[in-house]
Amino acid sequence: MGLARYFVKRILFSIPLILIIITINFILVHIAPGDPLSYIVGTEYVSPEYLQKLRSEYGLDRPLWERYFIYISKVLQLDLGISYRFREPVINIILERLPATLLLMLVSIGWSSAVGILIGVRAAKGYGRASDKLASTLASISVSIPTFWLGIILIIVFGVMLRLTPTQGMLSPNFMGARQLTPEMMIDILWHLILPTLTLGTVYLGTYIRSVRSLLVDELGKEYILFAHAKGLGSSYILWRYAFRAVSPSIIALLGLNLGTMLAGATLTETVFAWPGMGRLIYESAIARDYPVILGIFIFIAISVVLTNLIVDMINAILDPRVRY
Amino acid sequence: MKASSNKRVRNLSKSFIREVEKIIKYLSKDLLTFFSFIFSVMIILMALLPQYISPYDPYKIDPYATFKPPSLEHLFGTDDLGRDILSQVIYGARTSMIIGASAASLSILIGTLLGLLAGFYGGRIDLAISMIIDAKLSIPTFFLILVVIAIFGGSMINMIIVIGITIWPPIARVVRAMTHSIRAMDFVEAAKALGASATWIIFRHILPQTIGVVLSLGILQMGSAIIIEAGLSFLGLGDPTLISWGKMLSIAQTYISRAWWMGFFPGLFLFLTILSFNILGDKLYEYYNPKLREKVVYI
Repeated sequence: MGLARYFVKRILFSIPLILIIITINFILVHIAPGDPLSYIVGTEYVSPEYLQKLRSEYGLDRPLWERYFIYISKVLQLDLGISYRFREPVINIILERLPATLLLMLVSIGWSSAVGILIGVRAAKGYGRASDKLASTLASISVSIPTFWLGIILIIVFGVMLRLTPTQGMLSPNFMGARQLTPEMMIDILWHLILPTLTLGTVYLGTYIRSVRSLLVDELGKEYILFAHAKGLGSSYILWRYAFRAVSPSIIALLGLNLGTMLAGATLTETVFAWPGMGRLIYESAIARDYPVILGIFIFIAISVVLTNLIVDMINAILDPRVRY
Repeated sequence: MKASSNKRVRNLSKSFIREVEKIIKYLSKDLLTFFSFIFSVMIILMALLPQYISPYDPYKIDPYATFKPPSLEHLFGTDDLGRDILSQVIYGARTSMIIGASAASLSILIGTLLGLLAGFYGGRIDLAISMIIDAKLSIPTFFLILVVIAIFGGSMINMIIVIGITIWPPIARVVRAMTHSIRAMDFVEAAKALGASATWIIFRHILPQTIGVVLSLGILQMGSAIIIEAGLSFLGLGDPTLISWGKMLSIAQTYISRAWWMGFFPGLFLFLTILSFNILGDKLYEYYNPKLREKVVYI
């Protein structure tokens, strides 16, 4: 199969997924108790005239199937409704909060995947021996730690007892309201980032250790590895240049797939550290029952995850011809 | 007739006990797994009999004993209202276990059924079910659950249903693959030749062989269900009438610089419970998949 055909196939597979996500949202809004409109504009401070205008704008006076198509077209135009807490379009609020979340996630994915790969490779190399068992135990602990508990422990130890790092927010008060990003400000942000990224990364470290280890163990059982040994190549050369290279597309795909689950961790992490990202926004909106925002974030995240997976698979297909078949 | 059925029951229960003995022996081989087993038994006891174990009434407010650090009187300290943390942790185990066990059972039921159907019939049924599984894997589970709970409310029954119908795909996937390979075996062909119906083959020949693996996956899913519940309660979306570890952590956040024990202990139990279930589930899965145990590695 050529690259172009693979791309087309992959894109065609993503379209129904996005439709499914939008449909789930549509169904939720319509089977939920109360007026569907309250999930679009919220419940308070709306005059009857405005409500009527919205009702016809969202087509709520039309038959169900027509509404469905209106809803799809609204979502595709990135019209996710209006937050009743902020009196602003949901999409604007999400985009405003997006950079903080992306920063937190990218830094966390970066260090945890790098460390996870190193430990996973080490475990596969010592398969069945003490180093392997230690790595597996470490991975089990890492995937079992509740994000929010780890965050609280880190705050108690580093923030309250040792008073080493800031524990809340993204910026020190003296930088608030600054218009431009200065170098001092960037250092301040990184300083605030330490504990949240330690929390979020640690929880996902285990996933990388486990996958890298099991992928490599399977690869190292293949006969071409034995042949490479027979040729007299060194162990670490075979490990990195042969086996690791062969499994790296799967690892890249895993990074993409993890994005969705990592966002869940990010929500809880941001809540603990008052990090001003999307996760924190979900928490605040859930408390305030700001349904348009909650539903909007869900759609936004779900579609982002589908698109990210699509992009990751495409990159993989370019890098590795095996994927295309 | 009666005597023979009695004998069969006796034989069955004997082989069941022998199997349980073998599993416990396998689990006792390494220390960490053994501790996970003991801890799980302890949590189950806490969940079943909290009234006999807990030293105080978990709801009893004592204005003279607020924010007491851990002591002999209150092993885990007291909270902002003077309630005993240990007693709340013990009652919290009940919430976690009820939601975890029920949601996992529901996901086992759905996952096994769909997996059997997809694996046995193949063709369009398989394609449809596999599509659903793939789609579910692309949608972030926690957010889907969060959205539904935010709209419909986080009562215990709602949480069980929503978590249960969201986390079944991994089980369906494994059962589907197993069914697919068992179906192609000779003894199934033989049963077919003898005129056995599809239902008979599925429930008599295929299902029993998947039970072990499904059970081990169920334990892992129980861990996920417990952490999802805790996460929802932490975000303030849980059942307000229940004592839940997640909710305790959420309250503890407010008093973090004043009373570290309020958050430390419930979180520790949450962590150890999930760790135990994860380790037990992994070990059991390994037990039922001997191929996973020893692999050849050329390095």
